[in-house]
Amino acid sequence: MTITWLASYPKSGNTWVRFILYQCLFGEPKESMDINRRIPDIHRRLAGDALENPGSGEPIFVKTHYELTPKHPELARTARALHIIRDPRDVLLSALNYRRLNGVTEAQLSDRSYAEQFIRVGGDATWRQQGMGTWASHADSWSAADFPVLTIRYEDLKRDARDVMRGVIDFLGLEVADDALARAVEGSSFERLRAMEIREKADARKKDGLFLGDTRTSRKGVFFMNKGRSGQSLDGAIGPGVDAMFDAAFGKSLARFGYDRPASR
Amino acid sequence: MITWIASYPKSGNTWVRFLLHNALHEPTDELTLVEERIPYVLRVRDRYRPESEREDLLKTHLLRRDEHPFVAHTRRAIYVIRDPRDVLMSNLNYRRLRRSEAETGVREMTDADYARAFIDAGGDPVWAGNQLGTWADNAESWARGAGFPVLLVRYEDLGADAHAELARMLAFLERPTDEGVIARAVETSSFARLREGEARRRGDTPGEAPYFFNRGVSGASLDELIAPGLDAAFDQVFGEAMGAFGYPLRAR
Repeated sequence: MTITWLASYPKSGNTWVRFILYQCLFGEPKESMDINRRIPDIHRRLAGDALENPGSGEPIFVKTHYELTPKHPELARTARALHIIRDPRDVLLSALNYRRLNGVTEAQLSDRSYAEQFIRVGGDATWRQQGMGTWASHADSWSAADFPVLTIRYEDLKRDARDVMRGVIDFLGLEVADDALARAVEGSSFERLRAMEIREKADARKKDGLFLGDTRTSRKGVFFMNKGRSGQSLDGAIGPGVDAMFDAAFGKSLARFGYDRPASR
Repeated sequence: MITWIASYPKSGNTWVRFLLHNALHEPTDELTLVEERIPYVLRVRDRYRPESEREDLLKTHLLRRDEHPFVAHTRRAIYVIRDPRDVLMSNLNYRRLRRSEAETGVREMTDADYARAFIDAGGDPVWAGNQLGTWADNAESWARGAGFPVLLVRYEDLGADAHAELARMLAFLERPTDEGVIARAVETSSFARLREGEARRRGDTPGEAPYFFNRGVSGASLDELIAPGLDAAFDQVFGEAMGAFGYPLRAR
């Protein structure tokens, strides 16, 4: 039984892709944790998930945020990888929201301090410690794999998810009818996933959703399904000078992955 | 001190503001004039300075909580509430309006998908990210335990008798309730007049939807208008809070 990796740096659309793929393969999920059961998360394994308990030799899909190195878990079972990348400016802002969702307050860590640290490190410092590399080293590592890799962009998914996912499905060798794909994309819209998040967090009986946070963060308007924006200006979101600082630090890798165009700002 | 005109979106906030504006000032059908005198709190938060001697009317859609801007300067609030089914229907119209105005920012979704998301989330899922909470949270935050006087005004009652409701609001605001002034304000804030003004400024004749001033439906059935099964799902999520605010369930 082989593994197809769903690889991305965090906050780059991995959950979104997993929801679409899940609905293509298994229909509508009853709850968000269904995703982790059928499409396991290497960082958050569940007892009896598809990795532990594979079906009859069919390929399984596993999410990973790790940088691709020889030490990557389960590497020997790799068949191929789907690699998702996103404009690192939007990743930065989404990562900041993720910190807030985790309860880190502005007093503990200001928006600007977080942004400056992200820029200095080349990505989130904690994630680097956890083996995810920097934004650029992560993207480089999966681009240079010695097995088949299809790289897709978050921005293209936003523009035309159906078109991009058709390419993904072909790459993965799956058979999914057009109307099933259309349903899967519609059922995984930002609004639908945000709604699922709100419902699960409001449900006191539910403790183990896919979406970080609780009713307290909901009242503050902070959600895992955050904004889904693209091409944001760091100067606009954080303060003057951040975009220039970002460009100076990320410059070469931005160009390498096509995120240096002014239109993306 | 501030008097809030508070509501969940698409619940008649602008209608109430027109009524009050046209009773307290020279009547108009220009939304921009009303927005100037009774602005949305988020639009003016950087320049607004509350003063204890002056009474200002401000619009808000945010949850009432300690972090709500200027909430410490509150004198009282009017909370406008509307049957959440009709809020859903009204926002479907509003989304179409936004889509026709600008292609960006509004995702293409079918009405049924939007309705399901609205039901799942207990309100518009995107608005929840703007600190509006769910429909029920929003209403409860203002209507229960606010610590200042709150007048609850129903959209449905405005539709049935705007005159009486405006008189009630003016009394709550401790303003004169001259019958002639009220009648004129109701007349100049009628749906027909506001729609006419919108069409005139848009440069077309009233007719084709979508308009901002959309003839409010009351008592819509989601099963009939969108897709079967939605009313029952709706009642399950909204039922308790709707009951608490006196709205009947609709699924049979």
